[in-house]
Amino acid sequence: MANAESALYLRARRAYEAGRARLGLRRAAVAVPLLAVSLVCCGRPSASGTTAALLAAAVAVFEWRGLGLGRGARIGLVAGLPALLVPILVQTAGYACGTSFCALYPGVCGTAGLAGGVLLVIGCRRRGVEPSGLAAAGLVAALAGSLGCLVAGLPGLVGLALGLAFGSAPALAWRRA
Amino acid sequence: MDQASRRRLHEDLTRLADGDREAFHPVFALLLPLLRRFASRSLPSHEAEDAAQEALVKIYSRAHEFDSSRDGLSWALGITAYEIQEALVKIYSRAHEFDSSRDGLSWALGITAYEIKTARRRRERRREADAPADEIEARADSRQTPEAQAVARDLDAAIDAALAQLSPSDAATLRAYAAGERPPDVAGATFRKRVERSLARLRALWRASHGER
Repeated sequence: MANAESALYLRARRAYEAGRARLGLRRAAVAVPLLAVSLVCCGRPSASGTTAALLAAAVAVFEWRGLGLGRGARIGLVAGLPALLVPILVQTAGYACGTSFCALYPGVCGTAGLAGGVLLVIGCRRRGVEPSGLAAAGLVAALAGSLGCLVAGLPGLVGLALGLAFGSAPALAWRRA
Repeated sequence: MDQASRRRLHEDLTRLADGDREAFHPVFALLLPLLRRFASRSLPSHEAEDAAQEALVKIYSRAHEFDSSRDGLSWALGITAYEIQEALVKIYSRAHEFDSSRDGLSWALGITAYEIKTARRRRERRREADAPADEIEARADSRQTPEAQAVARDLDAAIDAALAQLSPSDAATLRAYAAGERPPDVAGATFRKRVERSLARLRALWRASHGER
């Protein structure tokens, strides 16, 4: 390749990577409304902020890399929605716990996580996402769901993690078989 | 470009849009000569090279926006056509340097647009509401050589003749386009589509009566 063409090649490569980075940042902006919901409903600003920042960073990086990781990030955002919204809906419906430990919210987070796990595996199967994409989807779903399950504190997050794991495990096992 | 290459380009652009870096080189190798040829049909060699390179960089920059339901080649050429248009605007300011190896139609349309804009600016400065058309024509750029002015006049006449053969709506669209205007009741995208179609018809008429150049 001649010098001029090599320079053009590098310029094109930089333009391509910059374009993908812009795409990643644009898609990562989805964390902003999720953060707003979490801030309003969960009352844990620092935890919500940190989780939303991690979610934005994960989405930006996965979308920038593209392929299975990008698809996984999009699937993960959808799969994380039940765990984000259901606990908040339960809270706004007027259910509140007065005792030192309340099983309602962890249970809700676990159930929503279960639904998210199933959605995650169905989405990944339908779009032919490879294991790395599945891992990316799981991470993004966990982070997105955490923004809602923060309403229940640590038990809610544990419930979400277990729900996601149990929701996706049978389908994953079936896929391997 | 044959159908197989066109399909391959489409597939590679789809992969590139998905983030597959492996498709980078095949797209580069396929597009660069194609864009050079495409640009050189409307621009002199130096400007064609610049426009092709700018278009290529823009294509890569916007590769993630490529929608695989659209034809890859048309999408890439659409971006290149925009770059060519930008280059032509620059060239219009040096319209007297007419070179017979260039596309006469593009060159003449460029001069016409430039002249109309110049005349309008002068009229605005003099606060003249309705300058007659022949007076505007008489205000041709004084930097042009007499020979270039004569060539430009001939081409203007040929353009007028070709425009007269078009339907009134096509002619009105092209006149508005050359004047840098758009009817207020027509959306931008619709107007661009009309311009594209009208130009295609004008080109066909031009080629029928003047050949390829």
